[in-house]
Amino acid sequence: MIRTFFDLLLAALVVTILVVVVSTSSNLLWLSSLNMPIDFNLVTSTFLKDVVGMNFNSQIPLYLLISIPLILFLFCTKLISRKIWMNRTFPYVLAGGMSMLFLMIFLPFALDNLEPISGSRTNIGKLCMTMCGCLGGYIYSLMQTSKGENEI
Amino acid sequence: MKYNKFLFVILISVLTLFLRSEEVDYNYTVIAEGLDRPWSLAVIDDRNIIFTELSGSLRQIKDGELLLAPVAGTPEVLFKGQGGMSGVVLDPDFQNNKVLYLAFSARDEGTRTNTLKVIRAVLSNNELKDIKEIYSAFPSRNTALHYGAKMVFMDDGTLLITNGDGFNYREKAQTLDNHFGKIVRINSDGSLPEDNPFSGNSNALPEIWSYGHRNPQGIINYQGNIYGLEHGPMGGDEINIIKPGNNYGWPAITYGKDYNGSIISPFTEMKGMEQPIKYWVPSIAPSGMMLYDKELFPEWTGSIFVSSMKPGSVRRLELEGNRIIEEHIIFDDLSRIRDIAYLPNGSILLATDGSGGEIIKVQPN
Repeated sequence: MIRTFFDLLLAALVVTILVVVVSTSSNLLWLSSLNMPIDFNLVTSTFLKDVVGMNFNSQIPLYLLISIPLILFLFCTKLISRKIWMNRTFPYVLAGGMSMLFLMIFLPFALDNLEPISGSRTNIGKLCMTMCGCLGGYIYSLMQTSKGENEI
Repeated sequence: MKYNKFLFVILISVLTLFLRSEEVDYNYTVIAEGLDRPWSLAVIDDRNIIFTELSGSLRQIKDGELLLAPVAGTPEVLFKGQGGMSGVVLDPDFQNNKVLYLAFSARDEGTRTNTLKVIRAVLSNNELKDIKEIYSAFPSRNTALHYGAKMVFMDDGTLLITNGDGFNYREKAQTLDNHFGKIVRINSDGSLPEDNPFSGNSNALPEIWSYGHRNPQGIINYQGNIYGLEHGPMGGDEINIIKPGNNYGWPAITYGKDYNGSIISPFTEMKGMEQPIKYWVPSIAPSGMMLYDKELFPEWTGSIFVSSMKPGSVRRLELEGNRIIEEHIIFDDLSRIRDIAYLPNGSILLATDGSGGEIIKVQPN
């Protein structure tokens, strides 16, 4: 149980970092489209500042925001898939993606259409964020496989 | 000798402290209370004031007394988030024609979107007549934040209207095919002046006067100079000198950070983008602005006053040319201050924010 919980937290951490990558990239890509001088050092420093800023200087830490739905979706999938004899990789991938989609639908719904994660304001951004969730689900499934839980 | 030097330094420091502190003695008089989110003040004369309440009303203080009934005939507004009945400004010839202008957020018919609109109307007794819509921001938005919605007349009789970036649409402040994050200039009847900076540009909306703004909620015209005041995000509130065709940088350059803690832009300056004459980090949530040119408070003559909501106070900024040389915090014993204006006799008016808001007159003792 502790191992599962640790795996869930680790998956959430990976998704958080990926979401920051998407958010920072979309911002810098837009600035670059205005011919602003974006170089490798700037990308790296902005990404690191965003990791710290979005988790320690925001009203709700991004890690917490992502963890809650992701852990909920993955854990529910784990419980459900125990009853069904199937390969769990796909359900975990789906659950990860769905958790991010849920977050991107829930946040504007709760905040009068405001989209606080700037990287998710476009459809491409939403797609990328969903992919981050899918990847988180996949990583979780890999960790479960290494424990021998994912065998058919 | 060393001891004397030490005493001299102490004496100079104490003297400097005294000179820098605000020694003006003033008192507050509440002239209207129990208001529902007073938002914008327009002064007719020393005893007659018009103001908006965000919840949708236009109210009058007539002969020094608050009229209980709001002005009738006002348009229906979308009172949501930061939206509602917002800016009010009097026509330069108001004493004769009784014309005023209202900026407000309004829901689009049959859709879930809304936009900023401006109407022109005649104030007759306590009723608006001859209402004409003269401006509607394009395109509409699905958020109820960052409308701007302040107005000022230029010396040539044209009207400047501030438009916010709508929060979700901040990148659009850098493109000229929309009104997000723009200050627009129109004639008082809604028609377009021919000498707007982007008039002949087929890729730009012809109303645009300046762009790259976030949420400009203060704009004044002092001797032909236009000063704009805008909310930054977490930090980066700004005062700019607004000139036609200029790009004020948002969100490509900013001194603020996003509310989610991320970097909006790693740049604070860039060629082709204007620098503010003043910015605040952390944010003070600036809400209104005036340039005091009266003599009732002679120590304050020629200063810019910025009302702020975080914390509730007023920042008095001493100007030298177009440079701000000193900042003083005053009126910090009230609550969040939503707007500031002055009466022809030199008294200062403050509107405090929120339900139960007040209009307070400041006079010297």
